[in-house]
Amino acid sequence: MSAPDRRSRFPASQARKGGRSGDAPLAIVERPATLVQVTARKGRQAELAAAIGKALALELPEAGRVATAADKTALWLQPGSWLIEAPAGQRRVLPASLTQALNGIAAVVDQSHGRCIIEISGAEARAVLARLCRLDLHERAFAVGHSAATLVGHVSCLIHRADGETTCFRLLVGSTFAEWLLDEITAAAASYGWSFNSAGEAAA
Amino acid sequence: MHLIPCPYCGQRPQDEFHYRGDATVKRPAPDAGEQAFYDYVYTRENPRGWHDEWWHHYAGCRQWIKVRRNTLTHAVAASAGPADALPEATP
Repeated sequence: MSAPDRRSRFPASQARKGGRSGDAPLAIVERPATLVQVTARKGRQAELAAAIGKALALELPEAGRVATAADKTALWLQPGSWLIEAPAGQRRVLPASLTQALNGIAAVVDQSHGRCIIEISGAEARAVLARLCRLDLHERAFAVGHSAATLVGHVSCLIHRADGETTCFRLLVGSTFAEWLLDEITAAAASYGWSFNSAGEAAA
Repeated sequence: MHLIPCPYCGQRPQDEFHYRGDATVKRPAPDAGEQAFYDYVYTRENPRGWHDEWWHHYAGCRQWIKVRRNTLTHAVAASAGPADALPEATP
């Protein structure tokens, strides 16, 4: 039985496509994941970094950066606070084990249900985002491993560039804003064409 | 587009921020009297030129930051985290 909060944030959305049919359509995919926010208690940031290093073999990144080790990713959120991303299957295990490992050092909040990951990839991904986001997302200024908490289509998002051959950006957005953000992205991508797969249909 | 340098996130557009008022006022001592508290809550300078202000980076790192802004030109000279002091001298 899958946990209820692992359902897609787009329950009514079938896999679909739209916009102009072109050579470089934008692929929009919802990625299920386990997300846990850890916030250091006052003055205990060094202990938190050490404990995360020990528990997950993960180095907490500095401001505006992302760090990946094995199947886990740490994303900087704000001073003293990070988001740990792990595969969806660890939804029941990770928050509990982190709560135990970080007892007294950090506040641990399971955000798996609260945030949604939308991945957009394709040759024109950056051009589409340029219509929604004011940051310079060119590789020169925003390389793999960089992240930014900013506004995308008037919605607060954590955006970072994924490693890979094709240009791919990952947007972490509040679940209740996910449908709105998808509408904004598909409208911005209409001139290139787009396809959408929600978590249910997405390939792992 | 007006850019504000967040000490944590770097240059960001102004629409990621909310203005949160004068950063130079200090809370008076509890026994300072009614007039001191009236001034603390309500009385503000309206400077023409450099001014230290609170801005809230609500759409980014969600921190309150101090920004030294020129109210005449909108130029920003410096910014600092909530617990840090802005530099003494203004350009």
